[in-house]
Amino acid sequence: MNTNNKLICCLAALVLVMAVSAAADIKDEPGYIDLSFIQIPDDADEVQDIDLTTVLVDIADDARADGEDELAEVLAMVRSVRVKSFSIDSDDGSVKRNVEKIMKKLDDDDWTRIIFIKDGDETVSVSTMNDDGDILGLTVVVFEPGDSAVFVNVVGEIDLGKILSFAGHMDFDDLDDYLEEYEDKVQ
Amino acid sequence: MKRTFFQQVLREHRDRVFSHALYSLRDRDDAEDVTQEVFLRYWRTDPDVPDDRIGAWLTRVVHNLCIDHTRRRKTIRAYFGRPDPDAMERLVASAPDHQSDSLSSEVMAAMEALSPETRSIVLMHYEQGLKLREIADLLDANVNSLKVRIHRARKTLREVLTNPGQPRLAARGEGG
Amino acid sequence: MMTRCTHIENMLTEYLSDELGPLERAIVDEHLAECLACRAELAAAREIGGGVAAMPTVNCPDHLSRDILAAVDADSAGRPWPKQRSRAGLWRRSSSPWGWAGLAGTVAAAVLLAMVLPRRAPESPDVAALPAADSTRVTTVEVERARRELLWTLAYTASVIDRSEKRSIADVWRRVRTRTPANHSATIIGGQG
Repeated sequence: MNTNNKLICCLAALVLVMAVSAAADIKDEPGYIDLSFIQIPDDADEVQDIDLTTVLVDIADDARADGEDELAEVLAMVRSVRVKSFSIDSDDGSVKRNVEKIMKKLDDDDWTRIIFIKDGDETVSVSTMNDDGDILGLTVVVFEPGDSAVFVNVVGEIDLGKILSFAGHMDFDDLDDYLEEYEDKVQ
Repeated sequence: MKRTFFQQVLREHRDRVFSHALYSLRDRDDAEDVTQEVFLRYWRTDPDVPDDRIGAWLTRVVHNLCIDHTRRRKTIRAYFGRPDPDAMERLVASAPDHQSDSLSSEVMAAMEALSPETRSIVLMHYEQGLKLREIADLLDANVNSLKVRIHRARKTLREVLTNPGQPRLAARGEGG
Repeated sequence: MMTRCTHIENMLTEYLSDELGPLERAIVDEHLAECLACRAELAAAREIGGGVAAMPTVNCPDHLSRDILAAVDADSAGRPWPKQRSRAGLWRRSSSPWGWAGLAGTVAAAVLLAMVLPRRAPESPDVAALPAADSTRVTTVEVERARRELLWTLAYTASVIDRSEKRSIADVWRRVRTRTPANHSATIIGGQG
């Protein structure tokens, strides 16, 4: 291996290490909730398994370059976005157990419930990890038995008002395209 | 536009617009949102149409807004706020010319199997009595594709009505 | 190859709505006279069409008319009129039969939510702590896809919050109205459950 290649290897390794440590750092964040234990059932539809950490920087770069200031601002706050969501007609109880487990974890770790609706097993929960007036993490759990389950964890120093305002102005054409692509994949 | 004129238009067309939205979207809240949006657009746009064409103008807007609304819901996938058929049925049951007789109730239920866009077109043709050509003009669509869509819709409705135990989800290739 | 019956069937919609020219109409009539299957098709089509036609016109709810006029007045006065669903919902509640109580519920919910929102702008995380994006390692397609996933997530989250706010209020008022025992444990925003 010549010097150049060695150098490239070192740099690559360094970036990898930094990426890994960034990922490890995320796990230590108070606003982080582990979603990896959630097994997406084999017969689930409309599955989304999203894990955005390091790529957020790329998105932010693009956003700034394109003059998308609002998005860039939101991204300045967010360090990790993870989603597990799926549709499922019937559940052998495993999804319900996952929901209960995560709700218990949120309670145990002293998350603040800002929205909590429970109707039988149907659950909608939005919780934040607060520290002295700052929000360090956001977790959304939506469970509709016999229909779908969604688990979202956003880590970062979050200005919820800003996110809501941004999402409210969002151009849905973007999302439409995404959904169409996504539906094609699922066919 | 004068407020008094607007009030008159509102009075004259609100039930029809609301019904159209309700039967297309099959959700009371959504129908209310769309209805409000339709009339506010009318107010804001102040379109230059003869009085006897106001209804058609409103129909076009309610149709387009129903489609937009559906797309938005689908995109967000917050099915947490999914259609509430009971709310719809209660509303319909309270309508002045409601007959508890079977066929139109069954057809109404069977329309669940159609996409909102198709429902809207079916309503325009059969409930409002618009000709295919009129609908095509209104929606800037092709008469033939409308014909195919309605034809398929009838087939679907018929299938659902004769096989009540098997709900049929809106088919993908349901027509243009 | 399209059979005669298929051909006729394709004309039934226009036949029923009187949109066929005289010649075409005559063709259909002639075929119908000889073909039981197509007569049955026609009868079925007529029945379905009749079923749709007989669907009653539902009255526009009174509060909605009032809301619309209120919005029009707001617009005339140069105030912003409610376009988005969330704001339309607030208008709806303020003029609902529950009147001021409903509005107070909304305000209470907003206050509760505001109480848990940060009071001061957060500091940006130290971006330098994140690895420098080496964009040759992540393709444009991947970034694009990630961007959409992010937007979806934000939209979803915002929508859950928005809809939950409204639903939890509606649940409370429904319970009050029907006085069902709480085996629904619907809870208003805020508090530990």
